[in-house]
Amino acid sequence: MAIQGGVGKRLRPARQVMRLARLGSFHRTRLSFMPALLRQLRQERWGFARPLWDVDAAGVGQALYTARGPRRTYSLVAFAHDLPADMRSDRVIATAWDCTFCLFDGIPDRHDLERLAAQVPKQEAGRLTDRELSLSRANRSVRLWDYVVDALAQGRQPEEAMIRKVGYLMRTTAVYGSGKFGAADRAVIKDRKVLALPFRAELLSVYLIRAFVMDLVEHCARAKGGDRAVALTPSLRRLFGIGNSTGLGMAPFLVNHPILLHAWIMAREQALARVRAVTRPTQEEREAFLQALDRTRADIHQWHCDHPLQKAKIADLRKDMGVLMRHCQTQGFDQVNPWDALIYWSEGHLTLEGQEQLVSLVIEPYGWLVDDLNASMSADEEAGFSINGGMHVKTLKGLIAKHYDWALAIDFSNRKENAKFWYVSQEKMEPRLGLRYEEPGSDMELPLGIARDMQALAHALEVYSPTRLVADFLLAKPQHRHVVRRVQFIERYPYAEIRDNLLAQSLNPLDLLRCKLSFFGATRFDPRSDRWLRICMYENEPFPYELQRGHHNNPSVHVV
Amino acid sequence: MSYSLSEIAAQSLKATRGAGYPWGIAQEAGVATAVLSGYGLPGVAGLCRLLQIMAGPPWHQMQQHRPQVSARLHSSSFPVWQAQEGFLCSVLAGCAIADYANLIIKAGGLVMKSVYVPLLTAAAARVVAQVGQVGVTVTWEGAIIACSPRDLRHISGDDLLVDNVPEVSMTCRALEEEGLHKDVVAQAALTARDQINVQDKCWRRLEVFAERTYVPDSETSRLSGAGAGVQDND
Repeated sequence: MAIQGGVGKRLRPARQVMRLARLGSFHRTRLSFMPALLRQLRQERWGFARPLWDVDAAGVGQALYTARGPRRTYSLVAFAHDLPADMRSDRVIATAWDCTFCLFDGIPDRHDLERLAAQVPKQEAGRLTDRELSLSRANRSVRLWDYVVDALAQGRQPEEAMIRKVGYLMRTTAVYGSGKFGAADRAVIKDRKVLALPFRAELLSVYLIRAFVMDLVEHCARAKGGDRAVALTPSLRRLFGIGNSTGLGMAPFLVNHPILLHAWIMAREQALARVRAVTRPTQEEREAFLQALDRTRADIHQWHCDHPLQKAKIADLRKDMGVLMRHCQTQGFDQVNPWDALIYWSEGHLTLEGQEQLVSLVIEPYGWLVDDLNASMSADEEAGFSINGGMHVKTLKGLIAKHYDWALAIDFSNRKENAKFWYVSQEKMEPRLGLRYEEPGSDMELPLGIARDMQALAHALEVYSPTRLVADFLLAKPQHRHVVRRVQFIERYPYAEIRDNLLAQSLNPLDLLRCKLSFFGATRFDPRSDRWLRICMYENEPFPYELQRGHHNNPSVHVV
Repeated sequence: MSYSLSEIAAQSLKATRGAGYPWGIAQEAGVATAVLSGYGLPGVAGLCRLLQIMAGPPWHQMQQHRPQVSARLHSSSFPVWQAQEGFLCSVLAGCAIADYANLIIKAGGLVMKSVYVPLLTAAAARVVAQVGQVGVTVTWEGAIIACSPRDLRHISGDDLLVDNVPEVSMTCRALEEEGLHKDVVAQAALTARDQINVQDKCWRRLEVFAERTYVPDSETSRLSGAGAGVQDND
């Protein structure tokens, strides 16, 4: 296969990509963190073991799972509790869970386990050390847990339709990393080959949690059914992922980690650009694309959601995939640069959902061409932190006009454009979204209104001499410092800024969550309101014991 | 108690904002405190002292403690910074030091008069070292802190938490003169976690400031702010 054309020439511009409606239509790709992690674990021949299983007949106790790579070993320490049904809640404000976990750096000894047993079940109220890399907890699915335990205990397999309907036996309600609650700082793992990439410690935790949950459900079935009990058949087992319940807490992350956001988007756009530059795809690549399209169409039928906005988007996507299939059947792939032509065609014929699903689909056959981009998906926010005080005000104004014209065009005298504000709740210290003109607290607003603050900066600069230095301006007007920083890095990191108003009445915060979760590689994106949702992780992926035997996971393209 | 650097950065950011500084300044204070803590220096205690004396008046009064940058900085002479009124706030001075890094390097250094908790300017000295690829030394009353682009070292001085220091000097030199080599690996200098200890009373004081950035919950916000309904189980 030949590749033609400069890849850089075909990168989609930030003004097209960085709109919330498009980011909120992103789907998982083969570069997403979960499939990429499993690829690396398989390539490096990681081994997995369960050196400790101390769980009683009621399903209460502790277990240890180890993941051993060429250089390091990590351990999931799992605690299973007896949680009364009335205490089970997905909310981050819950104080007790069915299971609690941490990822330990190495293999814990007896003293470590004693210490962790006293701290991990308390979650946010406990204290970790720099030997712990992640802290998390999970609750049982009320719909599925008892059903599966009962079925297996009675010697029969659960119905496939029931499993597909829910997708998981337990869902995590928080997975913390990066120094939270005393755990190891990101600096500790940032130079490690496997854990250096974003959210790797958290996602390795979840992968091992999935194995633990399957062991636990079979253990409970055996305890209940004795000799009659059976294990899950491997094909049904694969259907179980781990659920996750998440909310606004993760939304400000994208604004507060602009350099990282740029790295993620840049990798995805570079992958697309490389594929668009392929002049003549091989027969295998064409077939791989069509197979991925077939799978996606089937997946869409498994994507259940009651939320009206998401239902409409799923309906659009279903229609889009039909249109795409017919287009491929009639047009074929015989022209030069067929993927480029297809992407170009999609912009006039598919909704944003369909366009971004197509991006995932065309990347899918090209592991050899794009998988190296995973290595560029971590970033150090320090790279964009320092302010260049020696820049002239004239240059700063030029950068604002060039990169923030979208922000300057918003009419903030219209209350609808300033209707919402982001704040941190005193009760749980989690980000929340309030209504500025109806609720108190906007004086403690988080600095996420980049568009509004950029307008204020531009306004303040109007009366400032263009020959003065940015340092002079900031000494006089330090209240603009947080946005001056952004103006100065945007030239180097064009995908760092979401080009929409996060204070607008029309803001749909789900778009922020969807973007982030697509990079994680989540599936079954299922909003429960406009501010929290459920997803599924590692569904249909091999279990640790299958991975070390070299079993391949399903290809990466699924609908989010 | 021992804290992670990300906890220290987050707590310092919120506390500085809660004490009345703008977000952009608070971001700098968060990073500075974490950098100092990472090298085993009492950045949290220093910030705690500073915020206690700075917090209270409205922002326009707090701003009087920023440096007055004289025109002399733009010439080749050694510039002198002092506050418009009273002592110089080391967080505001730190921001200005980083912003005027090139001019400070060109002048060869800087003198600051009447600085409150000068330790907090040391992280900005490291920024100057990075910008100019030079060695930078900060000295006051027997205390010496030396920075290279990738390192920060406490050379001498027992009490790094003096409040109001009449004069602080910052001098820039070629790296060899400082005896700090460009290739010093910053990670090696990072302090082990068990040495990053913060006094509980100090952390609690920061928490009091940080709490000013939180919005109290109401029944309405509990339901609508996070968007969850009554039933969130499945």
